[in-house]
Amino acid sequence: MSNAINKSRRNFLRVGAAAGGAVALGALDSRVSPLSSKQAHAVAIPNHKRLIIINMLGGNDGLNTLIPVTGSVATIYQTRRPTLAFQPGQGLALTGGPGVSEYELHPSMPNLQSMWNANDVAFVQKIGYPSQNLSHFVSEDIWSYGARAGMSALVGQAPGWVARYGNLDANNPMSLVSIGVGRRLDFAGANVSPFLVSSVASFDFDTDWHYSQNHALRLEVVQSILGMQAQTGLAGQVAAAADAAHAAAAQVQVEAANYEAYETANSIQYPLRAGSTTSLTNMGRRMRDIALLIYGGFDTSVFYTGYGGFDTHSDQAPRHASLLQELDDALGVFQQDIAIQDAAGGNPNIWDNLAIVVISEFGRRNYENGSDGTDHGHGNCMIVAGGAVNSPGIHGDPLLDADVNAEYLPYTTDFRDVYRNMIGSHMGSSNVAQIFPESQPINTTVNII
Amino acid sequence: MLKKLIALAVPLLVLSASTLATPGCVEGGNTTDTPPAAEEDLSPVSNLNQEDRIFFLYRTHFGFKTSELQRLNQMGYEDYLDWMLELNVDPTLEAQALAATVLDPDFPSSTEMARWWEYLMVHNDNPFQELLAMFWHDHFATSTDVLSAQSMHWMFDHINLWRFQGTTNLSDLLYLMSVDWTMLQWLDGYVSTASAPNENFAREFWELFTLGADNGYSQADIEEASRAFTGYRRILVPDRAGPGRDQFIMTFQDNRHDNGTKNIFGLQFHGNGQQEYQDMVDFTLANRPVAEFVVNKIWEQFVYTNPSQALISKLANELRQTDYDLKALFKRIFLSTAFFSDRAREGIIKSPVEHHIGFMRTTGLELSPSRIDNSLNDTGQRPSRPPTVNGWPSGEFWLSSQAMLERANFLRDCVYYSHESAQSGLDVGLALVPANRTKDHEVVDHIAWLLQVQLQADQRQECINYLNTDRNGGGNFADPWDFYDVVDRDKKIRGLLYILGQHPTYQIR
Repeated sequence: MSNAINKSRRNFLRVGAAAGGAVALGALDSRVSPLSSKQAHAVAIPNHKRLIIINMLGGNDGLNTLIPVTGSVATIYQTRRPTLAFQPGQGLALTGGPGVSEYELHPSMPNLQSMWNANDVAFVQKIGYPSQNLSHFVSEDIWSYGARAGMSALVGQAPGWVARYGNLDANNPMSLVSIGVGRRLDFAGANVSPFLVSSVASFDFDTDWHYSQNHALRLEVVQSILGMQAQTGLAGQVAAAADAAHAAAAQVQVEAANYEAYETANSIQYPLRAGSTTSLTNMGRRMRDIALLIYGGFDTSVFYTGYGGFDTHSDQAPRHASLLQELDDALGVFQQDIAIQDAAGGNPNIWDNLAIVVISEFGRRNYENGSDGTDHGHGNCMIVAGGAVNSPGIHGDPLLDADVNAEYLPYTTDFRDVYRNMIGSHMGSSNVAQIFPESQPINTTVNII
Repeated sequence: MLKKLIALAVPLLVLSASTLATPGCVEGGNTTDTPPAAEEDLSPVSNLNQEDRIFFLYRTHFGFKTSELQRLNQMGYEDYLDWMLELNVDPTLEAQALAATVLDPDFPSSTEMARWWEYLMVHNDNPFQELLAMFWHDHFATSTDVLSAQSMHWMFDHINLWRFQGTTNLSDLLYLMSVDWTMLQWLDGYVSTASAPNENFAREFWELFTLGADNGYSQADIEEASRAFTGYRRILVPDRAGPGRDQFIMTFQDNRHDNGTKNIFGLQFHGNGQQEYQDMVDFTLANRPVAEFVVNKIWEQFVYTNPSQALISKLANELRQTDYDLKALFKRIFLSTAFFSDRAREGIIKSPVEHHIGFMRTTGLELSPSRIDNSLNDTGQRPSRPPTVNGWPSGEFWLSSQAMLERANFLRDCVYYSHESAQSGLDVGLALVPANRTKDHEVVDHIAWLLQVQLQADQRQECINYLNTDRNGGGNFADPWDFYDVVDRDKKIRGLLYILGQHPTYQIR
């Protein structure tokens, strides 16, 4: 008989290390069947700080997200966008909460408006970085490095800013999670293999249907071999990563089953694709996966997700509306979900310790093009939402006539100043200067949290 | 034959030796008299044994096949290197790859493009050709992401540039890359004009392709160089591929080119029309340490990471002295004692392409083109679709949770789906296990050897135990290994391949 049958695992996933014992005990055994939902699940860790980055890939149109509605700025905006501009009153009022009258919100975002009214939203106006680059790829890389000069500013450090944060402050196997956005450069160089998955559901080992019983045995033999006498050097590094993947798959699938039971019991329904009764929208599925991992008791510090389609060179109005609605719908259910988790006891305080930062590699041109769309731009607005927001309202410099009259909206607040605020004040890191080592040509301080 | 494809894409191609190639940065070599450590020793290796030859194949091919080892043994190492580095075109293979994966070669889809190259990787008898092409593709990364239906066919020429010219002269290679149509599109060369020069290509030409970030150039140099890289435009040619079948081409227009004198590196760079693309290559080679940068990159790909500066300087100087002959450089490296040193054998983490293609080549468990492509897509490395101009991440980045899991799921696809279609009935045990190596421990040792997996004693025993165990609804039961039980053999050899393919040492080349 194979050793695999009776062998206990040498390595298993460390979960909830910061929680003082609130670990997912039921899931630590790799032989737990992923289909079993009988395991007691761990409650979310109380007062654990979380950051969720949502990337609108392709370049979100900030001017049509946070719409100028007063004064000459609004008139110029309407002139430059004869067909795409929203008129005052067409957007959602931002007069509740911290109360501003200069802007309205895109009409597809009522849930974000509710969060605004509850003092849980800050916008940062004219966000960007020095010498803005119009290439999606280059610009995205800059956001991922968190350094304008790329690797030359980061000698000896991890290329990705999320990795640099993790290496210094959050070093557990589930500390850094990315869902549905591939292997982003933001995570490159992490000392502990980050949990980068296309979706939680896909994070499982497929079976060989010709020999499914035998295949289950094979999988155990693999796990047994990984748990045997340590390999040295590079092979040891690989063994640790493979071992972590096996442990995570087993554990995550147990928690996925637990979450599904909770979801059904509480009638939580993430947004469905149009015309489908089972298939969730991309952002619906991704926000659900984040809620699932929080529910599962994992000690994740940074979640990174996002979705594409924002490169609206043509036919922008309906496309942009539908994209913003996809996010807003998902955020709405996510907030309800977290409220139910918060009310369930154990005082995990999830919402109050959560910051959601919505980014995009650049904004769009001030004027519309000849195809009912907008081309790549520079400055943009950024959204920060969540119970952790201490200073709701509009941050950054106000829009000026000259800003909107120019070809490109300028930037006056560096995106890394928002990240600094998130990593320092929100996540409580004392390593901000090392994580974002480049000095700023424009020295602004963002105090959202 | 297919070399002509490139000539067609670049009608004014002039393969001239560099006229400016006076090295500007020769550094002193190692002047000590003590013999260098093996890992620094460039003197030719002698007496390669079987293990060395397998190591060479494993490092420079996708894994190894016994047929490749036989060819190497027959030809002898040096002759094999000459053959391998020649990058000959095999017209039969080229035709097969197109037929198997592409419906309409004038209008391929981006998916077909990836499948086409993946097919070549699996089937090329000279896998170094594809591995090297993938190396250059990663270095000079471009993506089908920026191509449309009317320009997608450019990617054939782009990939074939690396496949057929990957060991040519570095000056020629850099020039061909600079005027490659996909590259002109990818880094905005086609919208770079005298009145609005675009910095994108100029910046990456130095930062990523030839020098490294901030290595001897300023923002002002970039702005000046971007004036030299002006003049190309993209035009749609009606009926180019037949009636109603319009295609984009790139063409150079003098009036879009800035023919003034540029001030670069504190020197004057004179206007020379379209020739400035070649001039800029040669100007950079002559005035900046391009050889060091490229040699270092090649060394890290094929030998080991972080080589000493002295070693790289020595090879870079040689490269300049041979007028940038890459073939000579590769041969020098593969013949060196350092290539076979212990440090080189510590290994490099396989990329998904190396892992997937290698497993299929070694085992013969081959997936359909669409399944290969899906699996590489899942694992995050789809040829012709790098994520950024930086190419793919490398090393530890391939060890993320999902990447490890996708490797396992790829192996599962191989053992499971190869029951289907063309591979139906493949008796993998019979195909891989020699007739005199059929006992349980012999089978484990042989398959581990094929995959070059280093099993520790307890791991080896676990594999032997696996061959003698099976499971049903009631749990595990003893099921003694019997090579001549066809069903049992198939089930367990597939299982063994799945298990050994996930061994930590199999993730390293």
